[in-house]
Amino acid sequence: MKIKSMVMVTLTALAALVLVACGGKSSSSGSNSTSSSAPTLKTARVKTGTLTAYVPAGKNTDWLKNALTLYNKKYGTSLTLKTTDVAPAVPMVQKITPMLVAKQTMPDLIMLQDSNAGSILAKFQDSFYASQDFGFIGQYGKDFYPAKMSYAKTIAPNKKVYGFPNDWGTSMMFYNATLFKQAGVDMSQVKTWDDLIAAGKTLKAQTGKNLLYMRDTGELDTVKNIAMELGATLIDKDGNVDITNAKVLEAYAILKKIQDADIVSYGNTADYLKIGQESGMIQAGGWFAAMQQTTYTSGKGDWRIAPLPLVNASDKPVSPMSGGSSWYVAKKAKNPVAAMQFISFVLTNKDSLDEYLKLTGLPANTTAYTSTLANQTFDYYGGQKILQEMNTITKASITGYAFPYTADLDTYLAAASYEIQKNGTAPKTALADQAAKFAAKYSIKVVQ
Amino acid sequence: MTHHTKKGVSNYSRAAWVMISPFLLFFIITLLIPTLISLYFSFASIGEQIQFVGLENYISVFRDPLFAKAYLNTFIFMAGSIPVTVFLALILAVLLNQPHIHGRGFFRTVYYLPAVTSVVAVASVFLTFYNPQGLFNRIVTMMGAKPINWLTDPFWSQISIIIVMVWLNVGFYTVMFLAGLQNISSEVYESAEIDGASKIRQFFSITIPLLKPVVLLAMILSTINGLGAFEAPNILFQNSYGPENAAVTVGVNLYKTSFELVNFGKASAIAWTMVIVAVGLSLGQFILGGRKHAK
Repeated sequence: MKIKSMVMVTLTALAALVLVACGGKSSSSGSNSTSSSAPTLKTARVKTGTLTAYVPAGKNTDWLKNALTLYNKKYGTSLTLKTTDVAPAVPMVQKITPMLVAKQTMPDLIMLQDSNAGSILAKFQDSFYASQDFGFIGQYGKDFYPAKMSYAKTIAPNKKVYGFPNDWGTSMMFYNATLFKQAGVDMSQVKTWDDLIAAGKTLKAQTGKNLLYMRDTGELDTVKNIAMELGATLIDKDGNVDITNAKVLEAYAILKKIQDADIVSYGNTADYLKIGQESGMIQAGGWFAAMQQTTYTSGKGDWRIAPLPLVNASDKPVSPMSGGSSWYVAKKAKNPVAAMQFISFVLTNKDSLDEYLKLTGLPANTTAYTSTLANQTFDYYGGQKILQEMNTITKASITGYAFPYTADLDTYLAAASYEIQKNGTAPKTALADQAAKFAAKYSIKVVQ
Repeated sequence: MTHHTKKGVSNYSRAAWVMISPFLLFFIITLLIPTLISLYFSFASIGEQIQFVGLENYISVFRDPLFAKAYLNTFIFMAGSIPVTVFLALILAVLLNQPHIHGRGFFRTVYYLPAVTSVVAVASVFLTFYNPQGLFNRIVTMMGAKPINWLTDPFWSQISIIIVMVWLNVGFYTVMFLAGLQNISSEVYESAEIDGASKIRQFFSITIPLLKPVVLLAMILSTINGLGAFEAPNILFQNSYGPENAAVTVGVNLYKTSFELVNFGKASAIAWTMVIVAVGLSLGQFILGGRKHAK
């Protein structure tokens, strides 16, 4: 009986202890990054140590490794690097959030997509060093795409920039120049979506190929791209959902014109690049250029890159944003200061940026595109200087706002698109319905 | 003498506690404590500080239209898959229990294989079957019907998920029913035959009533499994909610709330609604099962 009582008492005490511990405030993570002891660019350089990084395998991991060699040589340091392959979107969130909740020691460098960073920083902004406090933004911020920096400022609830900006993507048009030439279409004359629809009809009539891919579960990319070209941010600066305005409705009207022209190949999201490769054009971010060259080798020489068409020929050229990534440094890491010093070098040193370009990366640092390497031509794209082309397109990026739930809005827009296309619901009704559901989920307002 | 007996019982009790203590410790650390933490989390905002917020998470959960849709879908999947799974499993088990069937062990293994195969692999294979030009549409068109939009039409999307759930589970319950059938004495069937009962009569008057506890267990297990449906819809619809949110389940909603929106408090509240529903449904099944048994 005594043992039974002891077990029960221990059990109760253990449970109480756990609950109390859960409710307790952390002392380790509460340090203020702006305190006088906070590291800055002027802090003495860390000479030795092993940096750990959660980063996707491939060009980003290779870039860090190559840049570390340059860094050690330049500063006489002997840092080493240990990387773990984690994709920078949801898998990274899955990997680091339990660690943040449990207040575990974090890796020194974390690569995270901007669209996913919002949900992390909404809960854990004080667990990270701000690149702004480190002095990185003040020193180098002007070199980065303005739209990237503007977006970065809106990710964290306190509007401070935490990420060290890596890359920034805008939606652009990859088109099969050979196919359009066969159809007798001069793509240099395609300036507007109406022009593109006409080109798509000719393409279909002459070659039997469709113009582009769309999701059969509700189109998203085309309508978002057109809406953003028209200046719709979808989430307003106060964080309220704004998808029932005239600009979004106009985007849906253009979408309907494209769909009614019978020039669309529908498919699931897993096959969209494959389907796109069989079509006249693909809407994708700059990242697709490297992938297309290595995955679809038979298209060598056929494809070109250009900005997406505008709604009106007289409109100011503007590129819809498609996202980017940044590096984050947690306070509770083994070598955070060394990590910030190293990543500052990686993202700003000319030789390091060249290394990224060689690995088919597209730095958000615009100075990267002044190098000789950035002027190379690509046979796959018919000798086009694609890095310069993509840099020009990206410089015209729309300025948008980031909120923790921005990425989730895609689901609701796709649902509205499905409702409009399959059930013939009026766009305003379908969008208002989805906006109301989205607003209810996050306790925000619908902009009327 | 009495004192000696009490001492004996005490020693026996102590030995029992010592023997179960490794499991008890394991249970406390891996199940009880996480469960209590999760319960606390459902009333808290989880971030750098963990703050008690009362019913805020539950209010947020019930205000979200997706929560109701996820439960509705989950119940549709359960209502569509559980009766079919149990029925098919019962038929297969009865067939496999026939003495004249050769290679019973082989069939038992084959039918059980889906239960030990990765759901991810299964769903990925079914993804190719559901392709517009995939296996299922070839069969459908060979039969003279129009191709079906398996993954793009809300109704057929749900049917697609139900098919995968049935395929995944039918083997497991077949083996479970087979074990139950083999516990029914052959003498009962012999007596029935002497009394002139047909095979169908034997099935309904002997097999089904004597197998009832196993069927009840199967129903409870499949209900709990169905409530947590996650992998199949998530893979078939590539991390989306499917057309008109037809593929969102409570499990998918819970996952996305946790790891895409990083809202562990709200996710814990969703998890606890699942616990309450699972307990409620299981109790209901026990009560209904017991009542019929009493009759």
